[in-house]
Amino acid sequence: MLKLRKVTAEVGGTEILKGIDLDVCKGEVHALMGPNGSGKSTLANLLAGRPGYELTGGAVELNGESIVDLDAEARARRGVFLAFQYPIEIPGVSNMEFLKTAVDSKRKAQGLEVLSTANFMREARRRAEELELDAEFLRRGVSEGFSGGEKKRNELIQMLMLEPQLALLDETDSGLDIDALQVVAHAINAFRSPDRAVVLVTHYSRILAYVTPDHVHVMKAGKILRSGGAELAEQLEANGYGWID
Amino acid sequence: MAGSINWLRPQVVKAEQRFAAGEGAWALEPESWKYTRIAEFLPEAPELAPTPIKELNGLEDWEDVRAEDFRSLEPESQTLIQEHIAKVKHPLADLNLARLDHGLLIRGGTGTKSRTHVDFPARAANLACRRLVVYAEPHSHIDILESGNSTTGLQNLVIHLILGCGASIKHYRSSGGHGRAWTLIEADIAKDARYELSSLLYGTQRERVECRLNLLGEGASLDTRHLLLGRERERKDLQMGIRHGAPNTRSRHMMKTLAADHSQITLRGRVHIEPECPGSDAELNIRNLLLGGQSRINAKPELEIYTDDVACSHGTTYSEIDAEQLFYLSSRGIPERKASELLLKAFAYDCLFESDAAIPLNAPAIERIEGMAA
Repeated sequence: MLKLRKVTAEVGGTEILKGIDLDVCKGEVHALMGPNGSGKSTLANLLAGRPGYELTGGAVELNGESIVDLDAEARARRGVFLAFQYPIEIPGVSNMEFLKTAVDSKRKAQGLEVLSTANFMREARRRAEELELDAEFLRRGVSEGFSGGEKKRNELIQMLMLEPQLALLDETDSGLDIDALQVVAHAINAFRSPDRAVVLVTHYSRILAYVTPDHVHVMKAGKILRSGGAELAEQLEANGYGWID
Repeated sequence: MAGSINWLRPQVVKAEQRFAAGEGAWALEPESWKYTRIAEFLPEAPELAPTPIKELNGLEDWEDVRAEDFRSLEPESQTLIQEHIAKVKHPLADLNLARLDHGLLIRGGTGTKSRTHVDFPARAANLACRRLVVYAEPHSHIDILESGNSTTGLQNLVIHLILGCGASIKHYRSSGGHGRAWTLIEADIAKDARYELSSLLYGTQRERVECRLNLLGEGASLDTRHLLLGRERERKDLQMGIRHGAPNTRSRHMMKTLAADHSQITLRGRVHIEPECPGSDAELNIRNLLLGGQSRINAKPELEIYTDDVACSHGTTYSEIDAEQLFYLSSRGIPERKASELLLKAFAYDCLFESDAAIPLNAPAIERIEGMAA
């Protein structure tokens, strides 16, 4: 599904990614781990098409087609979703209006009829319940006044409603207490399917106790230095990142 | 409708004389700062011959409130009008009185609650002069929904509100059209009374709104919100004069602007705290969003304080559409134009009407905002 070859990228004129090769197939969950500043979030934002994150070399293909010239909206329409590390607050736009606009835009782009408001609201409330959020939450402004955990869960409501092919979860587990972590993990597991893939960017292996990855990659200084199975995460938990060169 | 406004004739004659003598309109220009020159609002040749009063129209959905045409007022109400008309000093208010088309008095009886919708429709004339006097008697409450469209000429509107002790008025204004509009809003707010003004100014080639809001009794309070939308070559001016004239008065003011194309919006908010008014509390905020093109926004908040022990603040910001918010929406597959539309509506959100009865009056402003999205 996703193929990266020799990807280099810079942010604000500083080279961050220094040659990334990665293959993510449908149905897989990849954990992208590494210490602060290793380039994990840069890679996730680059793939989502964030302005200011400049590809300077290499190839990025989604389902066999290059996406490097596509903007964020076009990438989203092709099924790329980024759960933000720091979700943006938009006071004055209700979660419900935002979600409905996003789902309508996706369905229109696919040539489908938009959902009736009643059906949409029923579905949104169901997703909120899955993430143990009160329906009132949907009437509030996007991320306005949300706690850190609520913001992260709000990102996952969007993921579940938009049903992307490729979900890039940028430290969605950070700042969560143990109960919220389990709720988030449950949502990720519910999202897993043979047609979708997840790239889980994280510092810590604790979420991997609930979401078993198919592949684990360790990034350092803009490169993937080691890849393995779920057992690699266990080694990192025991020994930290220092032993990987 | 039978009746006449002959009882107002002495004031009308004086207004005609003042306006014809040019005492005010042109002499005011030095104080106009970056406002549109008053002369630009005037019809080329405003005739000063009295015109017959037209039928009152557009009044609907009112309950438990006395709304009376100037032509059919009881002597007591006539005296009330005469007293307050004499206080309004402005050359365009003189023009308004000299050429008055509609005069309307709304009274909320002591202790009553009421709601009224006043619509000032566009008129095919080079000048339409309307005057609205609202008298909220002590401890009454009135919701006023006011809508209007400017004419091809000048819509000249004077609104005078008198709030008795403990009275409250919520005033929702929605102003559009395609001509010129000048509005003066004066409010005298007595002890423990409260006036809330929310206004949406959209459409209209030239529009100027002047507010003179006076907190005259201890404990009086005031809350104003204005949203001004400018596009093409429109010019919009808002002049706010807020006077804290009694101790322990409180006022909050929010002015928001969206300016696109070659439009120009000019705002001045002036809070004046008189001597011996301790405990006065005022906040004035101006938020401006420039949408590119050759649009221009001039904003000047002013505080004049002549009492110690007061709390006053003001703030002004200028910004563009937030790139991070735009990316966030785009990353969900929302087209850029739709994303801009959402963000503009979000900017305007806290100026839009929340009252169920007033919500329909938001529609033309929202439509305008949607049309301003890139």
